[in-house]
Amino acid sequence: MQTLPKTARWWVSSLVAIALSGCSFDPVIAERIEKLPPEDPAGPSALHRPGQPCVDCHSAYEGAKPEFAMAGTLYTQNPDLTLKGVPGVFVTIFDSAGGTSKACTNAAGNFFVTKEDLQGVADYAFPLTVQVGSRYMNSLVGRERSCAGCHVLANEERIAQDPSVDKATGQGRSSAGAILISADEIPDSERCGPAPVVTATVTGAGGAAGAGGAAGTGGAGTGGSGGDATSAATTSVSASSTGATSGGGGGAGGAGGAP
Amino acid sequence: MSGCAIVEPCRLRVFVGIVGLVLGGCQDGLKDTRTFVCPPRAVFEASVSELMERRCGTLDCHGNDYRPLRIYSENGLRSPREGNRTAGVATTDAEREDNYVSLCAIEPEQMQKVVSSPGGSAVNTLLLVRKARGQEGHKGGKVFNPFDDADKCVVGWLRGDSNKSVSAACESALAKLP
Ligand code: HEC
Ligand code: HEC
Repeated sequence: MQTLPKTARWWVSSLVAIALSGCSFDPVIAERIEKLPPEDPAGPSALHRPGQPCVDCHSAYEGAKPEFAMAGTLYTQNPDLTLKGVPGVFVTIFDSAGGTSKACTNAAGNFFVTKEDLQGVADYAFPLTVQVGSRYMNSLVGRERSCAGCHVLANEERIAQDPSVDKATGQGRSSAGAILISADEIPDSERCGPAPVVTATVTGAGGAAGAGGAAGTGGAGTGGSGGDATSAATTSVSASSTGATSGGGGGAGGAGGAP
Repeated sequence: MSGCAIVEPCRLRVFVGIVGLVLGGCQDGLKDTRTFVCPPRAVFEASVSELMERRCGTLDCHGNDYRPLRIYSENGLRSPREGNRTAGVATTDAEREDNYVSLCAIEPEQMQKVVSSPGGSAVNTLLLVRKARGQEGHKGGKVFNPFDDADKCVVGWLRGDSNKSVSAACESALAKLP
């Protein structure tokens, strides 16, 4: 593969994909992967390719391991409007069968739920809803496993094509832009990971760290802490309904509908 | 469940279109406007659209320029005519109108047949209905079960049920979404 030019590689892999599967070639995914920026200089790791649609690659379709059920990156916006990954926050995914899974963002702001993490269930029951900190996404997730499939960052091509694209966040006519969360939107119960974010403004945050987060998962377990920053993404999944998690849980997950 | 459900028909359509243009000498045909009857617009815009926006129009499904049957909405794809952003202002009238046109243009002749015999069974043959019920290849799988609220909302609208029962079904279907 290395010796072929990119476009040739695209055609070859497309044709091979069609030939092998009979019919599974997805032009949308293929085009998306083709347009991604190059691999991080440090090579693949849990911290790589923040903001990119992880599951385009980490899927049976493209074959990168581990295979993810859902993955993405959380950001906060610096005063100069540039984006910075947010570590140590739980992302909670609610599926339509009452299952809940939680994962913690790592030093890059990346989080992921692997297919293996979904113990007891073969897969999520779509559509899904999502909670980050105190924020609940209104939109349902119909089938996309990468947050960045809908939360697309800004890039030159998008800005050129769509004048409505926000150059800092990427929000535009076809995307919600980067997933933004600020410190005051992350209650202690939604913080996690081995390296607590030290926020000078929060009083009594003391040793909350990872332990606080475990309370959220209604008995499903873990939510605990990993070792170093790269393995900080921890997950707990329950196959059955866990009832409300902290803050009113499932009921608030978009039940309000559109205004 | 395969990409081909989307790719192949598009290619086919383009191909048929090109052949049509060549045979037709690129002159007639495109200028003609033919009028088809579609189910009532007011009920669609008041009730049906919102359910379809939320359940079908997410950015990863029909709220996407690349996929057939385009649906615009507040929390999905925005109309290119208006310059709004996803998660910006509420779904606009122009977007609801475009959603209506999207649905009506799938199979105009079939749709007309359904409208001309209210309460009839022709509605069950519409591609829109068959795909939503998972009876026809559909990337999104089975989304409605026959006779559940979402089905009664959309199928009821197509079939000519009373506005009241359509809007009640749509509301109740919306309330059941996660
Ligand atoms: C362009 C394809 C691509 C994208 C996009 C991508 N990855 Fe990867 N990732 C890989 C490849 C290739 C590997 C190396 C393992 C392999 O080849 O199976 C890898 C490895 C990993 C590993 C395993 C690292 C290890 O030490 O074993 C993790 C965890 C990971 N990626 C997380 C992510 C996350 C999170 C995202 C999104 C923010 C992401 N990846 C996006 C292709 C990708
Ligand atoms: C199907 C497309 C789609 C996918 C996939 C998606 N989102 Fe969203 N998300 C949206 C849209 C559209 C909005 C803006 C409107 C809203 O709140 O739903 C949004 C908004 C949000 C918000 C802000 C909610 C608020 O307070 O208004 C958060 C947080 C969020 N998403 C997190 C995530 C995370 C984490 C993932 C991955 C697990 C994800 N999203 C995947 C479409 C998506």
